[in-house]
Amino acid sequence: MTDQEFDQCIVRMQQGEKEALKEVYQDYLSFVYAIALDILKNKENAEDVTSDFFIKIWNISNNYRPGNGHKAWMARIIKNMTIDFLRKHKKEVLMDILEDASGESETESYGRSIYGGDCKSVVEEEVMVEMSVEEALAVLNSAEREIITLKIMGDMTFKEIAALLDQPMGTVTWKYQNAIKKLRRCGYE
Amino acid sequence: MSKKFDEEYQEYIKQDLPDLWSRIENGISEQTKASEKALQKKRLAKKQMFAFATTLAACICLFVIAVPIYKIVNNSKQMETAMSSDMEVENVEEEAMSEETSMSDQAMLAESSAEEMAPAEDSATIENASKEDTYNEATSSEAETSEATTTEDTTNAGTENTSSDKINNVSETTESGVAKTNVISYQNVIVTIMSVENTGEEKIFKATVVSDASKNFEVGRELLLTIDTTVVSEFVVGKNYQISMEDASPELSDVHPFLVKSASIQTK
Repeated sequence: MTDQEFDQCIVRMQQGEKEALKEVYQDYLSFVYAIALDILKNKENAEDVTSDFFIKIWNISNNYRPGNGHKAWMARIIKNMTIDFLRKHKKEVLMDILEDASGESETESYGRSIYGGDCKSVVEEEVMVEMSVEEALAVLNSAEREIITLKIMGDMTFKEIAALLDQPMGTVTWKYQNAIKKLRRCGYE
Repeated sequence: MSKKFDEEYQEYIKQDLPDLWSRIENGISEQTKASEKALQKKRLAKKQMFAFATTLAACICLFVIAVPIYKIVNNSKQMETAMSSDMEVENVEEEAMSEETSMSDQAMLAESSAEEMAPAEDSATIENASKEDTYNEATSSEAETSEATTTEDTTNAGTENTSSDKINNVSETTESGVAKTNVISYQNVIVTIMSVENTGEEKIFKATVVSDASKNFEVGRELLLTIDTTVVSEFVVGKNYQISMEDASPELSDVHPFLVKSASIQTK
């Protein structure tokens, strides 16, 4: 869905047309759900937050300002909603997530535990292990996972991702390349 | 063994993708209901606020109107009470003034009578002297003795007249010369009130002279008296009174009442 199509849907939603919301829902459910699931790591909670997200979109359609990129707008909303959910229900999980964001993540340690040591040594040894997507995602840290999700599921440009994460575009591309390298080591192209 | 991560990741997400539309639709309808309820509550609150504001405004208007009216009414009441009190004070003052004027009139009358005593005495002296002169001239043939007696009688008459209580008040003639009235005052005349006649306008007392130091009236002479009610309240029939009176029209030859100016009852 292009920006113009999304803007038209928003206008229709402002007029009370539920079909417009359904179109947005059909196009962006996977994107929104992927972001929520990536942060919450729980399908039920991700479903709750995702449904609340579309209801919220319906309610705040009047506040939408076109021209700033609808994907980034939606990604910011779902991210904030997910963090709010964690604050309400799982403060301890939030703390873990914040720690992941600041430094070494649990997923990296999980990846190390999977490979029984450093990933580099695994790559150097060229041990090709068949890994599921879920396991491969666990190798990445939270920042890398977020960038991968926004890039693949949202089809966002690096510029949009950099603006959304409030980071330099070079940092975003560097993290993306790192994530790809890790995924290649896990057997993905 | 290489796999495309993009495709597998999308498939992985879509495999577990739930159908959330029914939940979303229900949520929206519930929210619309809730929003309608909230709107109704807001409208109700607005109505209540409007009613309250209207009532408050009406109360304020009533207060704004009522307070000046109350003040005006209160002021008018105060004015009325002040007016009535002023009227009472004025009445009291008027009464006091009338009393003062009557007192001052009496004082003035007394002063004037006292002042007029001297010329009256002089005139009486002259009259007596002339009478005595004529009497002496008629009775005595000797000129020397007549002169001496004249001087003696004059002096005697003077002493008698000074003790006399008869006073002539002579009003001055006006420029037109219309009115010229004499008022003769008699003082210290003791009378007995014999009877009372009520003419309607005033009471006329019949009295007989018991004694008169000035000897203007013979003992047993009947007099008609009227009283100055501002000075004398009433006479009791059969009682003796020492009175001071005026003859306002001495030129009249027939019997006419004297105006009693003061009186004191004689117990003995």
